Amino acid sequence: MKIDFNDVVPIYIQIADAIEDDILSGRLEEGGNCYSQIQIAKEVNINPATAAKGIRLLVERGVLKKVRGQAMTISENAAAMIKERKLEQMLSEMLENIIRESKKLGISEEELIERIRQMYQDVTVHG
Amino acid sequence: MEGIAIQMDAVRKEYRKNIALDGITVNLHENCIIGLIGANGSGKTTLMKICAGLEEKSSGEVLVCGADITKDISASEEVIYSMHDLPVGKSYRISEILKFYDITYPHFDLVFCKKMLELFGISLKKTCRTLSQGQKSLVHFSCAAAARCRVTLLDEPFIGIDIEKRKMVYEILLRDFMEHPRAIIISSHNLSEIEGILSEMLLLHRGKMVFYQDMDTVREMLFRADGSKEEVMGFVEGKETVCTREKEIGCYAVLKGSVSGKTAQEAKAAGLSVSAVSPEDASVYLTMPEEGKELESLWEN
Repeated sequence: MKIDFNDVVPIYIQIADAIEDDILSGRLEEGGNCYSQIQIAKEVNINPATAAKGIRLLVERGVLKKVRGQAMTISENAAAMIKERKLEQMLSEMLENIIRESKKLGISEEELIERIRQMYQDVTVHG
Repeated sequence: MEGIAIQMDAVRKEYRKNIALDGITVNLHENCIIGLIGANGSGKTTLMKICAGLEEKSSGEVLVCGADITKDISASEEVIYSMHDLPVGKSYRISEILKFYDITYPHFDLVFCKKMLELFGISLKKTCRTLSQGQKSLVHFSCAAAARCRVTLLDEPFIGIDIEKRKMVYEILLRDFMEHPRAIIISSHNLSEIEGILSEMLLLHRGKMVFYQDMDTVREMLFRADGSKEEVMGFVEGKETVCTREKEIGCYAVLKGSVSGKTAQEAKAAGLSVSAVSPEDASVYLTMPEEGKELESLWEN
C-alpha cells in the first residue's frame, strides 16, 4: 500500500482505492476480512482516524460490510461493484477531458461527434 | 466533559505590553494526535505552558482532564510538557534523568524509555553536557513519550534530529499512540513531515485561533486556481476567496472548498488549472497579510 501526500486525491480516498485494488487483484477475498484501521495506519504511517475514514467510504459504497463489532468483511459481489464504478468513473473522466480539450481547440459538438463516429468504425480491439 | 482532554474558555495571556493569547475558546479532544501550528510568536508555547500549569493565564478558564491543573495536584501527574531543550543540570547523567521521570510520573515505562534510547544509540551513562542538540531532543522526547500521560504536550520536540531518526520518532509516536491512546499535542514548524500522523490540527495566528479541525477536513479546506489575470479575477467574483496573487506572467487565487468540490469543478470548467493546497500551505495562506508585495520593498532604494 502506498500513499502520496502530494497527490490531489485525498489520503482517505487513496486508502479506499488501494483496498479496492487488492480486492480486484485477489489479494483480499470476497467474503473475507478486510485490513483493520490499525493495520493500515501501521503499514503507511498515517493516523488511524484517516485510515478509518477510507474504510467508511467503502462501507458507504457497499464494498465492505460491518459484521459483529469492529471486523470489516468484504462483500460477496465486491469485485463486480468496484469494476462497475471504476468503469463509469473512467469513462466520464475520459469524455470530459476530450470535450474540454476540444473546446480549447474550437472543435464544435457536431464535429467532435462526427470524428468519434468515423473513428469508432476504424478502431478495432485485438485480444 | 466526556471525550475532552483540554477545555479552554476565553483564555487570555498578557505580558506587559504583549498579548500572547487573545481569547482562546476550544475543546481539544481526547485520544488524538493534535498539531499545534503557527508562526513564530503566535502563542503556541504559551498555550502549552498554560495547559501544563507552568504559566499563569491572565483570564479565562482551563480544565485539563476535567480538573484545574493549578489547584489539583493529582491532575498534574496526568500532564507532561516537554521540549527540545529542557533546562537540566549539565552534569546529570541520562540515567538520573530517567530516574526523575520514573518518580514523578506514575505511568512512566522505564523499560520502554531505555529501549528507545538504545535504538537511538544514546548511552545512559552519558552526561547532559556531552549531548548534541539532536540527542537532547531525543532524550526529552523518549522520556515524555514513555511518561504516557493522558495529556502529552510536546513543544518543538524534533529540533536538531536527523531525518532518519525523525522518521523513526514519528513512527514510534504513532505506534505508541495506537497502543496507548491519549491526547498528544505537538507544536512544529514542519507540518508537511508530521501531517500524516496527526488526527487534528489547531492553527494559531497572533494569539487567536484560526481553526481547530480534523486533518482530512484541513486537506480539503482550500484549493488553488491558476490562470490569466482576467480569467482568475472573473472567476473569483462573488466567491469565498482567501487570497489572490498577481504574478508577472500569471495569476492565481486560493479559494475555500475541496479540490474535488463544486467550486473547484466550476473553476476547471472556466479554464483555470486547479490544484490542491496542502495543510502546510493552507496555514500560510490563512495567516499571511493581504498583499504579498512586502518582499519587493527589500530591493527598493
